[in-house]
Amino acid sequence: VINRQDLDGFPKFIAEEAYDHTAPDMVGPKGARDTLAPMWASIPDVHYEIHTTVAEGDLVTLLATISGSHIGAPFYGMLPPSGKTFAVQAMQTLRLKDGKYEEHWGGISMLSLMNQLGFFEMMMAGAGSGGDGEQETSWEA
Amino acid sequence: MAREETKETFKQIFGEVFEKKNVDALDKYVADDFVDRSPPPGAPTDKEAFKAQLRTWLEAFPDLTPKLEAVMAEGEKVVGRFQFSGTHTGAFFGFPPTGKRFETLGMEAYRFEDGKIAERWMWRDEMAIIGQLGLMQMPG
Repeated sequence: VINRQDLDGFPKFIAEEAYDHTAPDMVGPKGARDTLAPMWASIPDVHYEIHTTVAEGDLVTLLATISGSHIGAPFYGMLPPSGKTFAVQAMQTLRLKDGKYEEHWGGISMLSLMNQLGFFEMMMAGAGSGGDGEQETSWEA
Repeated sequence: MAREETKETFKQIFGEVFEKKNVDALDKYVADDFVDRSPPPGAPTDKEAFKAQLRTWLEAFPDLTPKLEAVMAEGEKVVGRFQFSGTHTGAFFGFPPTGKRFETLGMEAYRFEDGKIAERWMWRDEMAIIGQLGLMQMPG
């Protein structure tokens, strides 16, 4: 679903009332679609590569890399497309039932993604106050 | 290691290193050819860099308190999920202390080899931390 950017594919794999512990407002397939559609519009070549899985009972954790390039719409409606590419880590745990996930924990390294796309440079340039904007910012800990 | 042994080792490391904040205790758990799969951008991936990264967090949040929620494992691979909280009293990635507190979700994953951590992945809800400390107005 992700690698084909298949916005209609979510109901096959996400339970209707699926709960996201990282993004509680993102409920079920509709929530996933509403959240991911604008991101995929910015990054039309988004690619999710799973390196390792850890499974126990009805839980599975994916250790993955998500990559792509900012060649589509403005990111978050704010950052104009730059053609910049990115690759960031993702760690996501799913609780599965009948082939669909009902709970999700974790996510991608969002700050690293925004850093690689130049989002913070834009924010800090926009702030224009000098001071805090001058440090070399390393976003991931 | 079998699943239960892997989980017990993880809990031991979590207690000693993360709860008791004894970063040097990692020395006996981490393999010499260890690779960190989620280092900060541009940072080295070795054992010393792993320890330096944990110290950076402790300097920014000296009262950092992790509470282990769940541990899952398959063979020698293990994932721990925890809530953690802290008060921002030291510099955090260049941001001066705000005195504010955050609480959010974090995850650590290890692959053991001969009983030692050979690979590590991590995830923290950094967006929640930035938001709760009021460091930046995030969109959406």
